Amino acid sequence: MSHALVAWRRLAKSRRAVFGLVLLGLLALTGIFAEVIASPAPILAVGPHGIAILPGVVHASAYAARSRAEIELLHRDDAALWPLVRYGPNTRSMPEAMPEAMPEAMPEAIPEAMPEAIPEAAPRATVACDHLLGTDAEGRDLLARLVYGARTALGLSLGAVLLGMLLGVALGGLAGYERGFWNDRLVRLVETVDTFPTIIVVALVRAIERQPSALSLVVAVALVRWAEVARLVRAEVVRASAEDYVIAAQALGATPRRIFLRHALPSAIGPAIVSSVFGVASVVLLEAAISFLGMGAESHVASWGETLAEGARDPERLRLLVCPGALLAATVGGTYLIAAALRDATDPRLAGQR
Amino acid sequence: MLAHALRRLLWTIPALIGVSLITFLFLSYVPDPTDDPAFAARTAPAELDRLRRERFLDLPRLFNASPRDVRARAEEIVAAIDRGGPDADEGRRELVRLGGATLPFILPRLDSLSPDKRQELAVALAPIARRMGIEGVDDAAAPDRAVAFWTRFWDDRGIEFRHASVRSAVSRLVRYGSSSRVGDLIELDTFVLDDVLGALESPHDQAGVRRAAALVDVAAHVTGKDDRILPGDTLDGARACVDRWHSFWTVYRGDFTFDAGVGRVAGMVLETRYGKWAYEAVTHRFGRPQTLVRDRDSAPAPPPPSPVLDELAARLPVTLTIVLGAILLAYAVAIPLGALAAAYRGQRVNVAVMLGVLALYATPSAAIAVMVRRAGGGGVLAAIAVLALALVAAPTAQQSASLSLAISADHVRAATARGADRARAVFVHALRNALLPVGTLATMEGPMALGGAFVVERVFDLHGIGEATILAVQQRDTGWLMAISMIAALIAALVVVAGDLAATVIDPRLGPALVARRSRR
Repeated sequence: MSHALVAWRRLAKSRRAVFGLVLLGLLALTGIFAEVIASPAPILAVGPHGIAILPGVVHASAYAARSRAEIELLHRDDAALWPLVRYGPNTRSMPEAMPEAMPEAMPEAIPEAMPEAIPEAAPRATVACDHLLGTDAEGRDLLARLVYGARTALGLSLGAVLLGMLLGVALGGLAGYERGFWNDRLVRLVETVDTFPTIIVVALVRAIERQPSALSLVVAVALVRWAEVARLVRAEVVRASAEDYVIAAQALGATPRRIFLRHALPSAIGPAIVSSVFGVASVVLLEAAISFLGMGAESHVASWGETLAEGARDPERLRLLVCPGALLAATVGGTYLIAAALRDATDPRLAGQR
Repeated sequence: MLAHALRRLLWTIPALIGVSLITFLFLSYVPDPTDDPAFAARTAPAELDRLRRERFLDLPRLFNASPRDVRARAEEIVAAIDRGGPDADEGRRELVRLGGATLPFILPRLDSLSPDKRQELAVALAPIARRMGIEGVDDAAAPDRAVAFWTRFWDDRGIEFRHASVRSAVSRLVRYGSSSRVGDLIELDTFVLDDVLGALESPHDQAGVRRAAALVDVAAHVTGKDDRILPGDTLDGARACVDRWHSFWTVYRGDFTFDAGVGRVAGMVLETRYGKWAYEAVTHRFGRPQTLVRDRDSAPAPPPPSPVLDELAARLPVTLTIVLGAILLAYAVAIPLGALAAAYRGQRVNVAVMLGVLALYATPSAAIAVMVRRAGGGGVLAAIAVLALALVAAPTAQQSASLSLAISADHVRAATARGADRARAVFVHALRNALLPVGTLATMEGPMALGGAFVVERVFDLHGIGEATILAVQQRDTGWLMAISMIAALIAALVVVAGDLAATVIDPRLGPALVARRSRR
């Protein structure tokens, strides 16, 4: 039975890992299928123009420009399957955008109750049938913002952590493998980078950009994250090269490269993964903090931190704080539980226990 | 061990220079406000050139192979006038601005030009002669006599264009002060700027103000930059004026001085954007944040921004108090909590403690801080408490893990066997061994807590570095960002050294090992 299999079995048996996986899986699915849950466009429309699957994604620009009433007009003949929330993260419900925006050419085609039946909510609307959680200060549906916020939070932090892990494993492995001049330089570099505050690196990156982008945030966080992984991997590679099985491999005539790739590096991957999963939790929180401070991605990208910042400005409505706060807590908590279970499962010193 | 710590401290200096270099290179790609096309369209080209120059954008980043000094500029002007055309007009204007400092390089070369060009050049020098206030100015302005005037001038006075004599004249002016010495200096025009502005010191008393006023008068006269210390000015006003002259000199020094030998090599490094920044950082408290004056008409001029270092000194204590206070508070809670969890390993108490701290960690500090704020909390103490909540989880888990290892150690079992009760066994015998990993964790907590500190600062309206940093990002104030990254690197380095020292205090066996590991280089 391989080590990975042992770890996997122990992970599957662990209750907290399963709980965390379910929690995080739900959030990840929400993020991935955000368009199915909240979008101004239908999921599926079958009508005289043919079958359209997720037209809001396929013809994104065409739908982004239309108001809700126009879209409804567009699909009035279709048998359409609408999403749970009929707003996108940026669909603004402005009262004045309503009747004038209706196409003049076909007044008779408008169902008689149309504009009145769907009262477009003003900014800061309260909870209603239409907007399940109300709207924010710009008239955007809060639930839609939260759904798309899951994509931002998980996407950004997974991206940053994966990039950091890639860099960290490569550089840390190299330092453990080479052991000479570069090893010492790298140790020093890791020490410096590891103690450098991420938020300041983010501030530096933000300062040189004209337009804030999500990608640069990922790169900025990864630029700091790699150091921790590199430190772990290097230590593990150095430790492993003194183990009996490595000496045995040397005695059998294996090349240094083979020893490194087959014997030393695999034992370092476990700690790197564990540290990275813990990293996801902290990066999710960091992303929220950065968005809260107004240094996040552009404001049309929904982010829980940004909603929190709005909640801070608006003392009347507690749900602007509670909803994103609870989602963040669920994400971070779920990730933390998985990471802790993974740490225990991959720890060979605990292999005999339980 | 102490020697080791000292050596590490010394090593932070090159590390800091390295950090400043990397940060500088990185920040040199910050889009400058003057690059903004809308701004450029609104501003006259000459004004734009001046603004760019004052922000050092005309200089290379790190290495200037051929720094332009007054000789190079003078030769360019002579060449431009020799060529004629529109360049010549520009050259004439530039020549008047550069003034007397160019004379040692232009007058000896008059003979090498063709007669009419020689005359043209000599006439172009007339405004300088007028500024110097020497007799026979009319000769200088008349085309047929100008060349003869300047040849005679150089024969008579060339000997005075020596820095040694200027220096002694300046020191006499500073010491005794009299209008005739001012006249002597003015007769050499911009040639004296280097020494005059070099002698200019920020005044501390009324006598200092008088000395500075005399020097500033000379500088204002020769440069035509009307920025003087008036008799009624306060001490602060005089200081601000001296500061303005110093920053003028930082920008335009290369226009009026000539470097040879070592000075030229130094110029290659100093006449760069990095060199200018480093010079400002060392001599002028990291310089002042530069602002573009957009509305000259707006009646109340904003007070000049204070130097970056002063601003930092005012704001850093706030943030440091929050971060350090939160870490101390979190660890003061986490260590007993972790001990509790370890003592009840595998029982309900353990699970409850762990879930509790996890919930605290996972809840974003922003939400908690806003709630506390609504409930009427505020101030530094509330900020510390809120930030500490998020920091409790990691040390508790670490403490619980390392303590449960320590509890199963032989000496703890021996203590229990001898009749020590459970609390004594945990707190007296096991805890000390378990503290080391927690202590190591504490030294790495600071940089992570800083993000949270920015958030609580924002929520509780505390004026720490977070507020200023966000503002600096919006205004693309590179000076502040440079300073803040250097401070962060410095604090990080100090914390690493302090962490090593603390580790040897907790566990004396570590001392030799640490020294051996670090000095294996």
